[in-house]
Amino acid sequence: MAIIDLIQGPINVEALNKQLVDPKYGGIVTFVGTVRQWTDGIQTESINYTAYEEMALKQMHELAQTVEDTGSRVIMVHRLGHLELTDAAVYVGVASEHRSTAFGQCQMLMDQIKYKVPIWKEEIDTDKVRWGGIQDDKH
Amino acid sequence: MISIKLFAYLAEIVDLDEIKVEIAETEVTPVVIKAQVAAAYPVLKDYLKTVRFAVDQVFVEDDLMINVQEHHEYALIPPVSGG
Repeated sequence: MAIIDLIQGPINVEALNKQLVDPKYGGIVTFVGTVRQWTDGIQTESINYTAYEEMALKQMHELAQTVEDTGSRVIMVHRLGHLELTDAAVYVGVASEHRSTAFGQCQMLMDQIKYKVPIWKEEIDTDKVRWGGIQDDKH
Repeated sequence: MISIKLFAYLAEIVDLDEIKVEIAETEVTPVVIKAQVAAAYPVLKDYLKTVRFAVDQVFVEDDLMINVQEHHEYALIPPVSGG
């Protein structure tokens, strides 16, 4: 059963890693997305994450199910609220029988989170506040 | 009249996390609903081109016919930016 969560506090990466360990799996791949300071000359100070929580959880469960149906184990946790530089914003972990499956599934899940899970970042940059997902400078 | 949830910058622009728009027809597509939103809230119009529509927490295509007489949860979903 996949572990899927949206949380307000820090992501406990070590504790999540341990939950992927199982004798039946030979490969564990994890991804941790953290708050980056620089993006093309723009300096970020912190990020606020918000979500359409019910839909986000539904989408994450559906994504996880497609992977767990192959026999892998999935953990996806996204942090919401105010995050500082280097804080972990998202954790995706996949445990599979073989490494190639785990690598591919972990990347697919992360790509899909960035496409279809309704979570938004509001970047507090040194020059202004920017919403993720729009390219203009209105906000 | 239907209620539509707003998120991220859409909610910020109108300072509301939910709006109500009048829909005259029984069945409409998200395209029509978005047009009604743009008419009622012109400040959102430019942003709606890249916004997806969700019914009962599922993305739907812009040409799907939706019976608005039934009880549904509607939402406008700006491009997501998690991770």
